[in-house]
Amino acid sequence: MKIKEGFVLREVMGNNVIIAVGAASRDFRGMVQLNESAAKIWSYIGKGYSKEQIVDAMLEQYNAERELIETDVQKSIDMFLENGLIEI
Amino acid sequence: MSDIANIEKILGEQGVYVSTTSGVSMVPMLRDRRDTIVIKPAKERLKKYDVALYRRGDSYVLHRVIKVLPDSYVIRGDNCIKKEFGITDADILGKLVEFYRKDKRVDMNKLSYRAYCVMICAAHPFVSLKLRLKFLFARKRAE
Repeated sequence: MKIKEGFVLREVMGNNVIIAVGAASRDFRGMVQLNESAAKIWSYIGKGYSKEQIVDAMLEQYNAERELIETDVQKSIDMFLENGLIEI
Repeated sequence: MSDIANIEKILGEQGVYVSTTSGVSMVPMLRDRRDTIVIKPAKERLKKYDVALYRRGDSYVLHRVIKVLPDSYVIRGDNCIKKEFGITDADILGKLVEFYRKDKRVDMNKLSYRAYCVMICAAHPFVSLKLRLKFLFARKRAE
């Protein structure tokens, strides 16, 4: 799982937003706003973490059930895939 | 959905549109597909030196207001020769409120930015001459 070339996370006016730069911006003209946890998941994908590693990392930071974290991580990954931001 | 409809939808739903620019019309301030722009809907009339995102037919343009008229604006890109007349508030989608050169935020309220606006507009005759010469040489070379 990796972030497609040209997609970057920008912190703009207190919001986390993914936009396309360079050649990727020819096809992707929108933006995707992320909440805090989705932004963290994005950064872990950027570091090359697997889904399991992301869940483990999120568990260390959030006081929540593993199942809940897994669902949250999967939802974010699905959203990134649907928007064509990452590839597996 | 067209680009312009997409931008209008995002501005309407989220109140902010973040993207990169394409083209060289606002160089040196905004570089082609490298810098990040933050657009918000214009809630009041634009002022001189504001950078407006506006409709031009089925596309959209991000250029600087160089004159405010009672019923319209005169607008021009910092790196363009021609002015555009007759742009009305109905054409304006929003205005630039922030931008990032690569990852560095540029504060548009800072004196240095305001000075840049004044300077880039004052220097326009030179920019225009440079562009005209560039086009002329390019045409000669192509002949």
